[in-house]
Amino acid sequence: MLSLTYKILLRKKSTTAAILALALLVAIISSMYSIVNFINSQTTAFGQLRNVGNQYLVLSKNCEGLSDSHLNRIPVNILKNCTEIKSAYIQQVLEGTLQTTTGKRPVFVRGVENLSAYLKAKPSYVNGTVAANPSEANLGVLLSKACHVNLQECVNVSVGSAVLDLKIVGFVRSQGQLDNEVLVSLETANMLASDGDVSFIEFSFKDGVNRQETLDGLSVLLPNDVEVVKVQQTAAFLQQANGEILNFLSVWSLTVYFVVAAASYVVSTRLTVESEYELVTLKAIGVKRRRVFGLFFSYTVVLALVGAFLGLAFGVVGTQVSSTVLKWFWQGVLVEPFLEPVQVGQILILSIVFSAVGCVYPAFKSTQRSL
Amino acid sequence: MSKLLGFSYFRFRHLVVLVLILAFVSGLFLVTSLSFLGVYRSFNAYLGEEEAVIAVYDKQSRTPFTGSVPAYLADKVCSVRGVFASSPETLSPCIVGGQSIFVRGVLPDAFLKLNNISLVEGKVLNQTDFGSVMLGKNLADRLKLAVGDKVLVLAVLVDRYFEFEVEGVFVSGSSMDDEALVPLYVGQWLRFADYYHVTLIRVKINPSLVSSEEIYLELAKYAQTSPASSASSNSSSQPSSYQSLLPFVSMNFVLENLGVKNAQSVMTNYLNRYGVTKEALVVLSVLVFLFSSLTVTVASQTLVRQHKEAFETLRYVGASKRELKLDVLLKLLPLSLIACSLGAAITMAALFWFEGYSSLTILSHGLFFSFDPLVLVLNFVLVTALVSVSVLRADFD
Repeated sequence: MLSLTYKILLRKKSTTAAILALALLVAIISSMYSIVNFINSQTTAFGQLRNVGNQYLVLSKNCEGLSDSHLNRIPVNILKNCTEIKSAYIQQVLEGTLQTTTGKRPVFVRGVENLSAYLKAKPSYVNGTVAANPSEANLGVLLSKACHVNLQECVNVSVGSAVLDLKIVGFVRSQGQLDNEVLVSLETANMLASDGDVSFIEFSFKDGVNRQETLDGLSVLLPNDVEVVKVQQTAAFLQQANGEILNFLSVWSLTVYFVVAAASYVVSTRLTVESEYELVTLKAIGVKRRRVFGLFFSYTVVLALVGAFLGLAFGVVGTQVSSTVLKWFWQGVLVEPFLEPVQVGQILILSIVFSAVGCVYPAFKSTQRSL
Repeated sequence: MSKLLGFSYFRFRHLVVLVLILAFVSGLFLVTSLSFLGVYRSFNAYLGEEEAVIAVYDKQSRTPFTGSVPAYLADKVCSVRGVFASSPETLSPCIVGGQSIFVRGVLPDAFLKLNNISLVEGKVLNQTDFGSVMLGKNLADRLKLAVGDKVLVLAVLVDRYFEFEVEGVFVSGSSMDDEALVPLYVGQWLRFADYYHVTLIRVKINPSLVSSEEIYLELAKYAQTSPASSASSNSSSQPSSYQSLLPFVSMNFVLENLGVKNAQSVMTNYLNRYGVTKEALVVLSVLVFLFSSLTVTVASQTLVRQHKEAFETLRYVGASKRELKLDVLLKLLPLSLIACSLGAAITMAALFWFEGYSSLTILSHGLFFSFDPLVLVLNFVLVTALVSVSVLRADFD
């Protein structure tokens, strides 16, 4: 009897309108997501077009900055033994004070193993010579101008209680942070720090190397308290930008789901109004209220499921048809909207859940009808 | 006027449900249009909202963040009568603590003449504070940073990294609250291969004395001459300590690549290039409304079905279908207004939450929403039209 009633309900004229109402609402969400997915895929592809940037840093995990990072010699030896690496520069960065004839100024002191090769690789321009022994230093061009230091002038560099007199043998211009630092050999930096520590290692790969594979291999070998960070973060930035748009869309789509719940309420209410005869008949033959509730509830959920599938199809196909029409008018515009499987599942489940919530009250009211 | 207006046959409970359904649909339209228009407006206001702020920018660049303009033009612009200040700036996307941010390189003195910022904590940057950064309040809260904290900044457009110390936290009441400010040189590290270019130059003018066209003509003189690479003469508006470090160098540039426009127009142009116009966003919102219109139609027709007996009685006593439809319409129109108001109230609450309490950002900038009266009127017109069509097409037999 109940299955017969179910068939009668499904064959009502209002069933089609109900499915369409729900389908159109779901189509709004699926079309928005499919267009955003296309835009995101384009920006991701752009970010991965070629291996952008070839500099990496080995730092201690969770350090706030370069001067807070401390490494022992293990990562140094691992990197030196890695054949895929073109160059690796061991560095120590210290926070110190520069004392000149014009006054004192807080500075970063960067000690680099093989400073000459490092500056050549940067690349950078050196006015003068590169510091070759522990009593010499290079100054960044901006720092030299700010402190009015001349070539061959002696300056006083202090880190904590350690103080060194250094002769400035060259000014460095690299269009980077080196332009604001005191550059010394690693030996000099160790003397200032009174230890043999290393802050971080800056390295790059040889051409043609599979970088991801090598990085995966390195992460297994390196100690747990150390991490490898890529310097140029193009892909990460684009990924975050994409994620922001998707988050916005997820929050916006909540309003659509509320309307889905409202639509489901309307559909169930209309069914209750139009199925008075069927309800009375069911009551007369003794069908329990719980079963009547289940009948109306499941009817609405089935409609929601069919509407959601249709809506997904309308949304994606609709945007693809629109993009084809756009291509006729704007040559060169190629939009290929698509939905991710996870998004399909998410939209289906949320549509059904909100529809179910929306139809609970009308289904309950249908059980209250008296003979 | 309807003869049946005195008959109140609608049950209150059913009317409440209809009003709620209309409010939800109206809310959907308003949330869609106002949130999209809010994002649009936030981008438009990115370079400044005042009419008196114009921008010298690179017309060839595809985004506002990737342009390149000779920095020395900031000096030349300042010599034009009617110009209060010019601020050469760089805009660079970066990653800090795993989060994307935008870093703006500025000359602090010039920048503060164009922008009113209030210091919340710490101190204002000096143009030689190369190891320091000022954070907008929203950004500082998002990254959980305070004055004295150190940050490692990883660039996006170039292969560079820097360590900074947070010098100050500021509030500006604009999208800059989501950005970090650094000295101009540092901004140039993040973008360019030299110290002679900037992303754009913002200029504050007296509109009654000078226009953007006049400034363009003034700059055109420098494109036509062929200056040798020599240090430019000191401009009275540029701080002398900046000039003593690495002065701006005069260089050739292609005039056709240079644009001078009101700052908001510059941003609007960039958005329009990608088809994002105010009209397109409103049309998109109307489409969303139309897709949800079947729900309203079904709800209106359900209301009619729920009162079938009352309508049958009225028909028996001589009311025509036309009179019934007119009467129902007149009774439902005020309810449409109530529903639109309720929808607007729901939308205000939702957008207030979006703006103040959610961490939603687009391109690392928070969202600012404002109510557009045109959208509210359009909302009422659409809802009323839809209810009218649904009632007129309902079956009163």
